Amino acid sequence: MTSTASRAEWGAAWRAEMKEKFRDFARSRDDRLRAELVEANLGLAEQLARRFTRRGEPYDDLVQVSSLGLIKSVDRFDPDRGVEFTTFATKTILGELKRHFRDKGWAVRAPRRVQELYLDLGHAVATLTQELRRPPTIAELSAASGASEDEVIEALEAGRGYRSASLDDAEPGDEALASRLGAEDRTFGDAEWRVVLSPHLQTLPARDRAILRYRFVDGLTQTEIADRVGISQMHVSRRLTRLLASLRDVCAQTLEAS
Amino acid sequence: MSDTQRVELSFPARPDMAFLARMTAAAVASRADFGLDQVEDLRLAIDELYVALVGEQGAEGDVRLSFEWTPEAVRVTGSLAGASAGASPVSLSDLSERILDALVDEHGVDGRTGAPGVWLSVRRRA
Repeated sequence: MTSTASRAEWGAAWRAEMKEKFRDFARSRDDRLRAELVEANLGLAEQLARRFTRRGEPYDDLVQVSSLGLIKSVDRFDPDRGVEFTTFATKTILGELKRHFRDKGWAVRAPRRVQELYLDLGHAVATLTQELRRPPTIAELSAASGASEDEVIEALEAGRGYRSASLDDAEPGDEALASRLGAEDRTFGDAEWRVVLSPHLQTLPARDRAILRYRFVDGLTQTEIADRVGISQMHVSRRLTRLLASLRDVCAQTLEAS
Repeated sequence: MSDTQRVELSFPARPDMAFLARMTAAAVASRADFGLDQVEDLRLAIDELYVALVGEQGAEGDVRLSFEWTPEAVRVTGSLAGASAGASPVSLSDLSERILDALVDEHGVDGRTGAPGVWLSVRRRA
């Protein structure tokens, strides 16, 4: 009984503190406070993302989508309207997740032969990179796979929108890797990146933060990142494509909010 | 005969047409014997160039893309033709600038051709 009462008191105190922080943020639009509010409510974004995992989308991608909804909620929440932030944010985040699935439904489906070629290319890239000790050219991939160069290019383009759970699910050792990268994690050194992207970067899984940092701060190639992170080069390419699209969304929203 | 070869494309400035730009870039990079890492980086860079021209929602008029390549390098120039006088000027966001810095050797915004444009160039890595 005492424990229930103290939990309720703690909850009320937390909500009051949040409300005060939202009032401060509404006045100051301070980036650090914004990041703090996003981080404090990240659990809600993750919880809502989990509700959609049975639809075949990788959990990491769903967390990214719901995190965008969370950032939007923090930017738009008016603490004086008499609505709890969690109520407001839940509606906004669910809207973002539903829009994601609706938009995805419009994507052009790649023909089966193209999907199969894309999967074959994944193996060919790994083998050739090892044999040649450099990334293969399209012509070398064409020769190795028996497909024409045009077909290889078509498959690479199709692979960009390929969201098969089997391809993007956590790969063996991913959890250990995420925890190792998390331990090594350091902030992006560049002030410009920190200011623009900080709230969003904090919502990304450790592996995605590491991939962005390796490519855009440390200047590693996709093959070098693949080696370091322990996933395929094509997986790195897919992650980068999606991460950059989500960063563009965040920047567009930041501009809109300001 | 010059070593430089060129392909030009023109199509409506719609976001869903970006695949044409990416596929052409990949084909051209393949002709220049780029490795897969650089082909994939170029495709990511083309996305940034395309967003600068067309935005996330699309734009008035047509996108015009010129792909030039030699055995050592690829240069892509994009411009917007047929937009009304009041249309927003073409520009690269800070984020796009930063991303392009990492993906290509050189890039910039150029209005010298009469239509506002963005260009980028990449040299083949050994």
